[in-house]
Amino acid sequence: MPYCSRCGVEVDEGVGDCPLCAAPIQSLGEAAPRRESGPYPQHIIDPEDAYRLSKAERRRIGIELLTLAAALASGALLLVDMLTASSPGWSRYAVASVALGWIVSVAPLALSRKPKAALAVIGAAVVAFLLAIDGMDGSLGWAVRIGVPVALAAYAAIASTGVAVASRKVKGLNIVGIGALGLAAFLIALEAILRLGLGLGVRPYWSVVAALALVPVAVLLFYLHGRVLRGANLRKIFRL
Amino acid sequence: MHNHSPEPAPSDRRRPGDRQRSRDRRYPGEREYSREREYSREREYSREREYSREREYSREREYSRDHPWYALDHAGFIYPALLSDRVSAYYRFQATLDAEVAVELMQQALDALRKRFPYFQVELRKGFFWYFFERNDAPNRVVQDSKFPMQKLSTKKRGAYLYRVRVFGDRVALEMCHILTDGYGALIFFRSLLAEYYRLQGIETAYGEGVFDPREAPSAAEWEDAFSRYATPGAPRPRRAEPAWHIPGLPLPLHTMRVTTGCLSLAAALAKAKSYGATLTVYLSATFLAALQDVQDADPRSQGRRGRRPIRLQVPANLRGFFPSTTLRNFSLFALPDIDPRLGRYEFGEIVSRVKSMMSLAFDPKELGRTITRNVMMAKHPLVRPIPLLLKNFFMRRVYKSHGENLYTSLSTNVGQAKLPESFAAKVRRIDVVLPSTPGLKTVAGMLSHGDALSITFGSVVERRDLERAFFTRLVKDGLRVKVESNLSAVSGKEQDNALL
Repeated sequence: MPYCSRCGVEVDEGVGDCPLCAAPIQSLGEAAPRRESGPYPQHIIDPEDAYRLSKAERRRIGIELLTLAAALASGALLLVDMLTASSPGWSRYAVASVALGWIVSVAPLALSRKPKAALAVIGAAVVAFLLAIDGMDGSLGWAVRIGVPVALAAYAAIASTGVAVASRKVKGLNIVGIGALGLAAFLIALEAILRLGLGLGVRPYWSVVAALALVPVAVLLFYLHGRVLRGANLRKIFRL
Repeated sequence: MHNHSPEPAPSDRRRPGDRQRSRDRRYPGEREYSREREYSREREYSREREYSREREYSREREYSRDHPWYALDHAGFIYPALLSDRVSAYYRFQATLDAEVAVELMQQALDALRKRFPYFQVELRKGFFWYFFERNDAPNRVVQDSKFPMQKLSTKKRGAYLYRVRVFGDRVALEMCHILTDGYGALIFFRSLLAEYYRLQGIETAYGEGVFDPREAPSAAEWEDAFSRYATPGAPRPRRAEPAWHIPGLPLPLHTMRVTTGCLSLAAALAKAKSYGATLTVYLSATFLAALQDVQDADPRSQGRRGRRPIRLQVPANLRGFFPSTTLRNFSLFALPDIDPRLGRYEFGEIVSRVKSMMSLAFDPKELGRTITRNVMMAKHPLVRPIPLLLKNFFMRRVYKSHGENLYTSLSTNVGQAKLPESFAAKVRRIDVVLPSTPGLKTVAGMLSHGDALSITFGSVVERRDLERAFFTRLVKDGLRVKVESNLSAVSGKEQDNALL
């Protein structure tokens, strides 16, 4: 049986180094096929890895906990309100906010495979929330005139910017330029909605100033992207 | 495991003092063996009369017999507080068979055996004041073995067992948590598992002699927390030793450990021990201490008398030999033989006679009574009991450091003979016991023999292997032939890369 000439201990056939002192084991005669350390497997598999919760299980637990927290918070708010009044008053607003928070946090978990559907649900929930808050006193006012149009304008700006960004093959400084243009468009729409909603006339003012600042920046960025940096992408410029 | 009677309604649940009712209930997993059960209950009653003293101190046995939950014993209760990624409190028996393990049969054997050992079919749960065991009905699957045994254990997870059976090639291993039982209990379980496995292959084994019949009802005495029975209130506390020297070394990466096994002939080792006038345990413990002395001599920080500290070894022993009990839960304590290198270098003969005397002094029922009483009384102290578990855990970690690990350099346990039944003993080539180390002790050893094969296994969490080398080369120089193997073959790591030699 081969042995280590430094330690004097025997080792299994085919073991290259002494397990105690790492000295190479001399083999006399036919060299036995070199063997990895004998009786223990070389892979590392721990049963613990199989016990770990899957992503779906973790999402389900997350939904459960968020729902429980939202229900408890709403219940507590309503009860506190009812201590002093016979019918829910201020707590309705608080409960509506909790409900919005619940939808916004649960939708991405519940619709994790369908991000577009999750975004649509969140968008609809925000509009519904604005209408609900406004309508709690019995009549709809600011939500219809300002709140919902601003939300829709924001969605439109984000969606069109997103589409424009997605259509670009090389994503460099031009992306920042597109963002700036999107922001300028949204600001103009915002001021228009505010002026129309508040009855101040249609002539825009501050949004034009903002657009005047943003559009040249965007143009400069497009120029830099196309001519100076030759279509380098953002990842390269900022080494992300 | 799905034949349990329904859970009792809350109002039907027994209160701690309600002893009469408890006799009419039984552990729900075993109702089909009513006749054997009757006999064993008869035995229990006569036993119970004997246990009058225990009753004064302990109600744990009452719970454990028929409750779906039971309390940890007085050795196991310290471990849950210590558990971390680096301290697992597990140990492992592994048998190398003469043929590839049939995993399906092993699973069947395990399933058949489980209801014979209801006290192991539990999960660890957190109470407000203490941890406790709760019955676990989840299936326990035989799992694949890994390069690094006893890592990533989910001891505290809901529904997780505190033991697992692992298979790789011709090797089957039982990894058992020390919270559940000590080496004696685990070895009975392992032996019964192997017997059942070979029975399924058509090799019959007679029951008894440490092999349990899976169809038999478990006896109440197996649940016993024997520590409480043998505590003698009023006994003086054990004398606390001064802190011991600890092995230096840089840690291996997390979730890894090195297992180094040396195999030698039992007959040759026994003859060698006899030539020193010692038992095998004394001889091997003395060799371990001598090897530790070699390591300390070579350590640059331990030069001169000031840098030195006593080298002390923990040598556990099965208490069932001193105090009659058939419990399958923890019932072991230890001796702490030591040498003090500040007094000069010890020759091997001196160490042997010292270890021999110190162990015979320590393993004396009266002397052991001190530690048993201290452990039990500490847990029963009226000021300790109402401390919330969170704080208790903090204090238990401190106590374990100051009264445990700090007092000994390393640990070496000789489990003795595996005592496999004749029917399949020849089919098992070797049995090892593997102990995982802790960051404090760094390298520990376990010894076990089967037939003429004595296996000495070191479990280590540090890169350096000088202790293993010193130990085995000492045996070789003593004229014994040792064959060494390890799960980590290549030597690498920070310490090795920077080594000058």
